Order: sequence, then structure tokens, then C-alpha cells
Amino acid sequence: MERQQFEQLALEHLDAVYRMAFHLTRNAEEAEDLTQEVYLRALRPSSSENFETRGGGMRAWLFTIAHNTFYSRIKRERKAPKAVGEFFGEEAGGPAPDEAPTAWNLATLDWEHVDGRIKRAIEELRPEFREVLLLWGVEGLKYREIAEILEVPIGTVMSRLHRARKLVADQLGEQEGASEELGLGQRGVTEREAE
Amino acid sequence: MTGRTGQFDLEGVALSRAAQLRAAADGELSPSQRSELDGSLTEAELRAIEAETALRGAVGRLMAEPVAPAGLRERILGAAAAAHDGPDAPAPEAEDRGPIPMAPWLRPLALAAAVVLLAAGGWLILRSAGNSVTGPTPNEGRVQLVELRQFMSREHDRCFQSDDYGAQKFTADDLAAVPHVFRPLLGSEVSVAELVQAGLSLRGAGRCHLPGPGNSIHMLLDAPLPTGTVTLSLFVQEDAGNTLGFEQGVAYELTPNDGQPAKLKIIAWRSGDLDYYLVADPEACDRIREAMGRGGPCGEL
Repeated sequence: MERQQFEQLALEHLDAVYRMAFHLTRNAEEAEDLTQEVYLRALRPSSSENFETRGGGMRAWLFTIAHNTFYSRIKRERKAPKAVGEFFGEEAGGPAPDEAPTAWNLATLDWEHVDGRIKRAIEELRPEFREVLLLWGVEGLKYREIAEILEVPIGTVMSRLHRARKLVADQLGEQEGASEELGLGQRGVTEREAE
Repeated sequence: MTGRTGQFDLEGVALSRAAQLRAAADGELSPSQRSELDGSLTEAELRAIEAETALRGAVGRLMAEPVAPAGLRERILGAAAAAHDGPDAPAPEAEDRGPIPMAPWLRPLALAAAVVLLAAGGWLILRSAGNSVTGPTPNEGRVQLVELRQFMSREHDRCFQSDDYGAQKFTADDLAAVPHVFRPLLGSEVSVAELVQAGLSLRGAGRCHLPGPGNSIHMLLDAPLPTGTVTLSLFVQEDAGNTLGFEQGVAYELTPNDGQPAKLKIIAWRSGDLDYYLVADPEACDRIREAMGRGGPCGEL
């Protein structure tokens, strides 16, 4: 691929990369810096070979760089040294992995009022949760694609995604009066109920 | 309940009933799996799938913002060119990267960037010459000065003009707590005694990314002056090599001299292991500097 074409193709995804950077950092200035670093890495002369051999498309490749760059920074800053299992509470206290999705009564759900609550709930999530929600909800990626970007097994993606969306749903339900106001009907349908 | 499906799997990962519902909502099931599941769904399970689908739509809508700010594309191209323009041109976060070889296709951009940087560096040399330069400033330092000035002016304006921007950036609002809060980041404590002495109050403080090899913070402060309250910025950067050549206890003026009346004045000094940059409108900057005990003529770079 010609270099100018490569650069043009990469910059077509600037908004998506910045968006991911913003949702990881929750800071506009840091998001700009992270985005810039992602592109500096991506536009290195040797990077096009890496991109072409890796496959998966430019956007996914840039997401992978963004992910790795962000967590490299975190490691350097010694802010997130926890193991994945510890981070997600998979060894203690977390929701059962086969817990059923929240059942909401969509007929009475007031999405106009839900938006603000969901937004706040998302903002309170840790970056790993926001990251997987972003790739799933905004970018519309499949589990397999997310797994390749994050370089984790597909089962890990499913687990993180379940926990992320459940945390958002729980935050909504835990607010005083939210269930009635939001029309949240039968929540937390269990396996027993499902059976 | 009758009609339960058997075990599904997704790329070898066995799916529980609940995981099957989520996978159905996410469109991850094969047509045959979905068909089998649909034939056994209870009303509650159907609502659960619909709710998960709705949640995904809401998440997608709410996380779709923001888009890249205007100018970021150009900034990236400029930084990429500068990063590839030899050892004297520092890339952002350069302390964490190895040297990046120059890409042939970036050379035209690099040339343009080099012209800009040389012009800016030339301005700094001329500016310094007016104050009797004691010796040539290393090119690295000149480029860093230009980037510092641009960065600080931009960040001061952004935080001053937008409370939302500041709210995203700032993590502390207690001036007395600043030394302790940011010590892990900066490696030593910010001196706030002279800020208190000058009667400054803190609007907010948080991490920023000043060009150069040290960690940094940005403090937005209000100063009570006879003419009214003035908002100023104080950037503090960990000294990771003193690439700018600051001497202890000497103040330096970094204000641009581009023939236009300066909107902002920038005064820098080094104290302990930290570099301080005061940014404010010119008149206020001098008053605040005096109130902080940093008055007197500026040193030379």
C-alpha cells in the first residue's frame, strides 16, 4: 500500500480512535495525547507491514494500538497492576457468570430519563469495562473481533461484557425509586425462574 | 419449564442459558442456534433479550461522543513529521520511545514542520538576544520551549473558558492538599506557600502532559487584584534532566514576541526538583509574580 494511502486510511478512523481514547482516559487532554501517540506508532515506517500481516482491518488495528498504549501508560504509572481476575472480582463476590440478563419492561421504559442515568453509570465504570462497552455498543463489533483487539480469549470478552452491562443495569436499579420511575420490571431473572 | 435447549457453544466456549440469551441479543448465535433458542423462550426471557438489545442501543448512542477535536489531525501530522525529523525534534511522550526512523513519505511534512520549528526557534534566539544571551540554547530546549508555550497557552484558555473541560481534567480543589496529592506523580512536593502568600485560591488541579520528559500538573487559580479577580494557570513539571537549563531561584520570561501584543505572559522558574510556569495576562502576571516573591528582572536562557 502506498504510504499516502496508508496515512489517509489510518486518519479516516481518527474520530473512532479519539473516542476510544477519551472513554479510556475520561480526560480530553489525555485523550488527545493518547490519540496522537497511537498515530505516531501507527505511522512508523515499519508499521504498515505489521498492519498488513496482522489483518482485521485498519480500525481494529488502531484500536489494538490504542489499547496497548493506554495500558502501557497505566503500567508505567503503576496505577493498575491488578491481575484481570482480581480486577473483575472473578474470584470473589462478583455476579454469577450465568446469571440471566436483566429483564426490563420495555413497554414502560422511559429512555429519555434513562439516558442520564446510564451515562453516569458508564462514567463510573473502570476503563476496562468502558472499553468493552464501547467496542460492543458503539463500534458494533463481534465478540471475536473484540477479543482480537484486546488480545484475550473470547470467553474473557463475554465475561467482561456481561459484567460491564450488568454493572450499568445494577446502577440504574439501585438508585432510589429508579425501578418505578424507569419502568424497570422484573429484574435479574434467575436460572430458576427461567426454568 | 419445558422446551429448554441443549448446550450451545461459541467458538468452543459453552454457553449457559443466560449467556445464550445475551448472545442472542448480541447477534452472536448461528441461525440454527437462534432458531432453536427462539422455540423455547419464555416471556421473561424474551423481554430480557429485548432489554439487552435496548441497552446496547443506549450505550452506543451515549458513548458515541465525543469526536476528535478540530486541529488534532494537523497536530498528529505535525508531530509525526517532527518525530521523524532527527534527534533534535522531540516527539510527544518522547521519553517513552526509542528513536523513530524517518519515513520517506513523511519527508515533505517533516520539511514543513522543520521550517516552522526553525522559525519559532529563531524567534526565541532573537528574543533571548535582546536580553543578552549567555550561550546557545540546545535545539532540543528551543523546540521544547516553543511547544511548552503553545501547550500552556492552549490549556490555560481551555480551562479558563470551559468549566466542563476543567471538570474532566482537575482532580483536586484544595490548595493545601496539592503537595501531598501530586507528590507521587511529580516525585516531590509542589510549593504552595508562596501561592498562599499571594492570596491565590485554587479552582482546580490535575495532571497534564507538558511537553518534555517530566510528569506535570496544571493548577488553575484565582488571584485577587485591585482591579478584580484574575484567573491564572500554574503548571508544575518534574525536572527530568533540566533540558531547559533553568537555574535555581531565577525567573525566566517565555512570553512570545511575534510582533503582536501578548495576550498571555509566561514566567518560569525552577525550585527544588520542579519547574514552575506562571501563565496569566501580562499585567496580572507581573503583579502575581511580585506577590509570590518572584519579582525582579528575568534571567537569561
